[in-house]
Amino acid sequence: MDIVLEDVSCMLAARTPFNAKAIDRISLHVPAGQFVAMMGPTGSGKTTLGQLMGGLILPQSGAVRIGPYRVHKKSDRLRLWKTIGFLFQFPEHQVIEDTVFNHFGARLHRLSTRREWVAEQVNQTMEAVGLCFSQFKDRSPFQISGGELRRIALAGVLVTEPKILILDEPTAGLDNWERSRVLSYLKQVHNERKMTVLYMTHRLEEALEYADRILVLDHGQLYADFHPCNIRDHWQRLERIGFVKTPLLRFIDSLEERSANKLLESVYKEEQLISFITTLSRKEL
Amino acid sequence: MENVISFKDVWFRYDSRQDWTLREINLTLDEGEWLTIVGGNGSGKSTLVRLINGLLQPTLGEVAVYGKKTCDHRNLWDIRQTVGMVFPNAENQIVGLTVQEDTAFGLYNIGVSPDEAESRCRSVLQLLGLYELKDRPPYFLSGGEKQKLAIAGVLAMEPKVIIVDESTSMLDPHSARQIHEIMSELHRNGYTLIQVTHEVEEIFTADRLVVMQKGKIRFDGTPQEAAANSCVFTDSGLLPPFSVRMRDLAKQKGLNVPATNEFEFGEE
Amino acid sequence: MQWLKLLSFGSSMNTRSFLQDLDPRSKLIFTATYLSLVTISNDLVSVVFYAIVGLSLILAARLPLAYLWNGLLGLIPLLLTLFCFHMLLGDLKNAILLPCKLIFIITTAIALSATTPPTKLADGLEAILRPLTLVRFPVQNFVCMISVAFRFIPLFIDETDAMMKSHKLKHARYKGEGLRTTTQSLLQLLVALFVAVLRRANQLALAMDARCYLPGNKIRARRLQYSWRDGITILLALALLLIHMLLKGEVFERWIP
Repeated sequence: MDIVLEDVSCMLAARTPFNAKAIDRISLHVPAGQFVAMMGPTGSGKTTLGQLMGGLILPQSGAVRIGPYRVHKKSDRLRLWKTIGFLFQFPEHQVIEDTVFNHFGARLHRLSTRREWVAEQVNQTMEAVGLCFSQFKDRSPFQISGGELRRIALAGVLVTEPKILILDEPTAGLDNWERSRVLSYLKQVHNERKMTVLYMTHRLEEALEYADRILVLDHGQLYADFHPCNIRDHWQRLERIGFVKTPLLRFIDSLEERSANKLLESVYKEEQLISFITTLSRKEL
Repeated sequence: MENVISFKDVWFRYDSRQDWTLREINLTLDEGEWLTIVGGNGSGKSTLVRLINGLLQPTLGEVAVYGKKTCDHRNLWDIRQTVGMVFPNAENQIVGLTVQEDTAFGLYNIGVSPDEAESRCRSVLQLLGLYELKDRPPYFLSGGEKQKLAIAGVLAMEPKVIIVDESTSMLDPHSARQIHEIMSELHRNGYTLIQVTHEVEEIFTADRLVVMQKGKIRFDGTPQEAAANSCVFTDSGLLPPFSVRMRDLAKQKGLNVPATNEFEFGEE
Repeated sequence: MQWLKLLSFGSSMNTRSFLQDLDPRSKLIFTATYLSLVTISNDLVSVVFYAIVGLSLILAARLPLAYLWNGLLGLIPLLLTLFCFHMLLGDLKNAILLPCKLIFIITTAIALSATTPPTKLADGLEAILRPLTLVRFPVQNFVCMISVAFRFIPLFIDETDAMMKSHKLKHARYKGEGLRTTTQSLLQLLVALFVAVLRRANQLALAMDARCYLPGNKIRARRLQYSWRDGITILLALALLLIHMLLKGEVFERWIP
């Protein structure tokens, strides 16, 4: 299921004094199965774009088509929502059932009412995100916080096997281990199920590491659209809107000062840097 | 000279039925030092700083600020004026209906006169670049501006120690950098700073580093000492800073490594 | 739902109107008088009269009518419910009166908030309630609580919005849900919102403590001053009261056999 936006504009709080153009004439095509990172300074319209692409809000002008569904038609929207998984920025807005098990059960119940099947699915998904089934299943979500709740929300979204996954800053507030865990699970699921992933984030490290494509928004307009390997070509423009070099990029800059090695130009991921360093011999540095 | 902050054999837990959140904390801090406390979520670092201004009381042991013990409730008034605290979520700290009103909140509480309050607010807001926004409701501020407002509210009270608890974890990199610059500026102006964070990349600007895990202090020394020996991080369940990892890797190959200082956050 | 936010931020519109230059105390006095009279009035003549007064308020506030219209549009479901409810009970008079009263109340609230910065409103409220300190009513606490509540209203609206959106997604799969599941979902939303509110309150309390908050300690800086416009406003409030009594008297007379 690909996503197509045609000259879409969206205003927030229209017809009130607070109206602001959140999205300004954006046209975009996301082919099925792509892992897209959406970045941009706060207020650039990332969240609004994510919600538009999920059919949660309607554009004031332009058309949004997701697979065969047109967002403007209500019946299409309802069918669309069955195949979309949306992870909100704060899991507290999403996981509101009385127990963790019921949070998953609410979605799975419609697919099959066999309790054993539902329990098995929940078990599998929870283990996959690294949560002990027996420990968490009867706990109230209000007693769980931070990284664990986010993993539950993520598992809840994935358990229904959506074709499109939209994630709004899924790693904000998590520490390093939790972050790498969430991201590696996400990448694993993306590779296995070939789902389209729209990943909204501030963190350039994550976008470079995991995304196939980086979209940058600024003031509601598409500012840049490139593959992570071309980060250097776009860097000057990105710096103007507030992008900060990641430790990896700074390290590469420093290495480049010492040795103009051709291979370095194509390095933008940690594993590439690691293999670069390991294949380097003493005399080259 | 007495220590600005001292923890003596402090143990803490919220409830007698629960496990200890802090174990055997012994820590002292001198005037003008920048201390960074780093640890994963749940390591007890936020709990530790809440013991400093008396929001929590130690279950065992003693915490003192400029010699005044936090267990004596008569000291809390002075302690909370001396130690200002910026909480993680700026949204839940801002009380006023406008930027100006929130900055003045603490001042009205401590009984500063309206004229003095206004002049202090003006200088603090100008310092942080918020003066043009002084009549704006907090709802219309960006994340970085809200965090700056939280700092303004604390600075206006003219503390000697400022605790910054995970104030950049929810911010975008540009705003986070602005907050770090403000912290460096405050440090240069003689404030004692305590920075709590889970982001190991931020340790290099500090004078002193404390690494915590599961309520215990695993390391207490300079960031350079920690960077020279990366098992300080891995033993405490943390990923070492990027430059440290790469340098270790390069060292394995016997390569001449770039000095860690080159990648100090904020110094390029 | 976004229209509720209008109540907190109306004053970010800068209309140079008569109402804007008024001291908040006179505005509050007028509003309180008007609203109480609207609430206790019980016949169509009064309602028409208060409608005229309300309209003049809007004109005096120089509110863009589109702004107001949008706010009221959000109310239509509630108004219709009230109307139908009373029609079902066979009470035609109330069916018309109650929605009208609600409209007046909301309009006045919007007019008031659009022309008064919230800080000034809080000051005015505190100044008016000050006599109550003689009976040990915690006026400063009360006003502080109201200010803080106002500060957080838009945030709670946004949270509810997010929760409802997530709910829409989760439950899009089933149409024709039973009443039981709908009520259950609604309850879950309410509980979640309640918990969110409590969490914020908890963190806020800590932050306020850290800044040496003690109930009742606040000294407000601003000095409020009356002017000739306030005199007119208070006179108008008294005039309203007088007219109300006259109207009531007339109606009363008509009913004397």
